[in-house]
Amino acid sequence: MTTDIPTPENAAAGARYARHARLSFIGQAGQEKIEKSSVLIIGCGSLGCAQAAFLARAGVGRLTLADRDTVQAPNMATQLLYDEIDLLERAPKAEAAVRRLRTINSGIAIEPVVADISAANIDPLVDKADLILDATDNFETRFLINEAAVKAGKPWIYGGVLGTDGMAMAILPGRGPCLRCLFALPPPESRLPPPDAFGVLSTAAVWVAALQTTQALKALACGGADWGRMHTLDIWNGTVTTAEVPRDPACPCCGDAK
Amino acid sequence: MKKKIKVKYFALVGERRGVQTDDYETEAATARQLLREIEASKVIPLTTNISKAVINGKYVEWDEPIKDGDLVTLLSPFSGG
Repeated sequence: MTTDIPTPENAAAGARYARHARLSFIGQAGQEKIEKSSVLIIGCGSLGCAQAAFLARAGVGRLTLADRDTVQAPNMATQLLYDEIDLLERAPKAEAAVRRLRTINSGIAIEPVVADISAANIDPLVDKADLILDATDNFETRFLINEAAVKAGKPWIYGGVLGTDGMAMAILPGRGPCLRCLFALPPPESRLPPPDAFGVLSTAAVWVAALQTTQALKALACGGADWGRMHTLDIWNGTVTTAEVPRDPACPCCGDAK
Repeated sequence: MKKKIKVKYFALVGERRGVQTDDYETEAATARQLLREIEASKVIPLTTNISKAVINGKYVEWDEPIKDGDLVTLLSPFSGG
């Protein structure tokens, strides 16, 4: 027995997105904003696969997926969009992900970008997106995203995962801290524990991606998100820790002198 | 005089893994001194590059004073995607 109550507004939303449109804080108006939105996902690993699947199913009008790598055996446990044919063909992740996403939702525009994201190519990608989702595996690229997003005034959602833990924070330039308010310089990769050594639990990645995607949908549908609050997740023990990140007026990226 | 605080941290290996919260007594005056004390004593199994401190739910500079009753979280950024 369903408790859903049909209304003219819900009927107009169409069956496909009805469950989201019936959420009071999204509604038909919010769903229409989602359908008119453009999201750039940088990275097609464990975070990017889950984010892209959530957003394609949510009906985001245009998705752009960027990744330089091909599908490899260790990806199969945590990267939900790939199958064994992709693995056999060593398919570029962005292209394989887009193929799968088009079977999930053929009514939206989805574009693969098979490239190494760098200072030379990030600005045009950020300019045509309403929001950027971080699914990278390194802080060098996250700093590039931060710089480009601050320059363009676009919101972006940081996410990282390791073992059974992860972090996520929504960043809106001018409304709260940026990544460099927290880390003035990229944390040296050599001093960060590598996922290759410590592993990643697929469900931890999906939990981080789910939190990032929720923040993205809130921003797209309602204009607001949980800006500047770092959520740290431990799925093994089922805990979430949240901390407020202050904006740094002297930040070299978004500070008052810029 | 020693202050009684709680220290929240991440452990990647061993029996205590994931997010842990331990009762801890310290004479450290600042977050920086606390981190050095914990690293030296190895009482708490820090296994990552700790880059930020959070006191009572707010990111702070390393010179932030430690007070009796504080909850101090020692965080390492997660890079995997």
